[in-house]
Amino acid sequence: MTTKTFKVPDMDCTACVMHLEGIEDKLNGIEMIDANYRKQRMVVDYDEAEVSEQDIITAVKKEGYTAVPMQESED
Amino acid sequence: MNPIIAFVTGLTAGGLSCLAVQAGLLTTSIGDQAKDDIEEELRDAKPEPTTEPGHYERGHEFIREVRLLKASGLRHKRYAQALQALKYRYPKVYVVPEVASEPKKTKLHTLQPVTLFLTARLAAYTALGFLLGWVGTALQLTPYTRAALLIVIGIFMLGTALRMLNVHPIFRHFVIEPPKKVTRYMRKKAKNDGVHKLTPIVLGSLTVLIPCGITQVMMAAAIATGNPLAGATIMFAFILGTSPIFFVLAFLTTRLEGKLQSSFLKLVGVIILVLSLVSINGGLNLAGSPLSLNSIQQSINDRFGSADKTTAENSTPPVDVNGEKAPTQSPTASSVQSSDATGDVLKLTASSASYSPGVIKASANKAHKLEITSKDNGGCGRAFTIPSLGKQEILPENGVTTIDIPPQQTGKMRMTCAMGMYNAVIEFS
Repeated sequence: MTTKTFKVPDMDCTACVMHLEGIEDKLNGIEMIDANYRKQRMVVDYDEAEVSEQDIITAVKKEGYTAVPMQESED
Repeated sequence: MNPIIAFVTGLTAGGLSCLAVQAGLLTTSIGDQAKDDIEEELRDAKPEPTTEPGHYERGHEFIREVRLLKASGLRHKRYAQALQALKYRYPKVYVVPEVASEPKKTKLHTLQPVTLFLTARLAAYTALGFLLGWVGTALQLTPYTRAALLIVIGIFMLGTALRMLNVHPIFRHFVIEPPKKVTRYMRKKAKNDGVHKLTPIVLGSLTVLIPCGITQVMMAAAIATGNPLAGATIMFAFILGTSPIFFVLAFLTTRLEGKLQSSFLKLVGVIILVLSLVSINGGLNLAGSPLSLNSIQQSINDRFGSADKTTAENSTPPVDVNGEKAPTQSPTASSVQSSDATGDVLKLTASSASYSPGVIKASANKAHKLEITSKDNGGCGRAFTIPSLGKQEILPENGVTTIDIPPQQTGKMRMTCAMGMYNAVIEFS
């Protein structure tokens, strides 16, 4: 299981949080998504064997947002 | 807040704003199983149908195993062997395609669940409005606490507006986020219940747990009414106003595009900004603050009025029938002629748009009776308040109400509606 933090700078409201967290039901291999509007970021627990970072970015894009992977040092 | 304003706000900004938050639940209610194609796009190895009317395929489990295998790093011969083993484990099965002649859902089929969803939502929010109004009553709101509440709510609205306009990240704290557990539970429920008949009712009611920004503002206004029925009326009017856009969505089953939603939120931000200023100004009025717009405007009027007076006296002094100099009046006070300025009875007319006259002159250190005539007074102007006397009176829609005014010292006494929107002043001199 991998945990990755993404910056999502275009979250406008708490509805965006719900949209983003809803991805965990749509994409196999995602254990949990914890999106935070105030911090404009989302933490994703996922199985690398089933889903890739690019898959997540694509899924986020389909929801109308931009996910940028963050480096450890940025946390 | 006037229910009509609540309705119009719902019809315009509220509808789209709530839609952004609650659209997912509505589309689930319709039973629109528009499947998300994210997963499909990722299934690049999906087998093509081979024969008609049916075809052979190995199914999703096989595809997942292949992806795992690809990710495992096995190469060449070992990979081929493992793949062969998987093919053996998941033999192709004959899949009969769905019967094409199956009747498709017509738009009319969506009418029932949408109606159920919206009715449940309306009922739930009306009940919530009643509850919030009751909470307002329980707080025993005096005019001054109500003023404080209006100002606090105004500041919250101002913060919400600045957050929506993306002025500074600090304003992101002006938001009430529903607990993660609640949103997760609702999402799972929406997903698992599918198109059960009760689903629209349950989901419609559950929307009270995820109010959008502008709904939160209305909820605050419902508390500020300090009256369960008024609170329920505001929420009912607002949610009723938001309903048409939900209906349109049900038939279009589209969602606001990301960019459109973003620019729309800016528009909502501007509307809330205006409402916040109205609320803060209302609070200041109710508290009798000289900083309220009405007080500022009146002091400007007073100054110009006295300037006019000087000019009038210097040019053509008005004379009465006996040849004596008639008293001059400032423009604001000129509207007072109908009221009994010298007697014990002061007259005020309360309509659904204003209190008139704006200024009533009266003698200081003398008891008066204030006679308020209501004429088609349907709005919040019915909640008549004299903050300095701690007096609150619910006026009838039509009729006369009399309030005793004890002797007052020289100065101004402000009268206002409970939300500080309509104002009038008695000037004691």
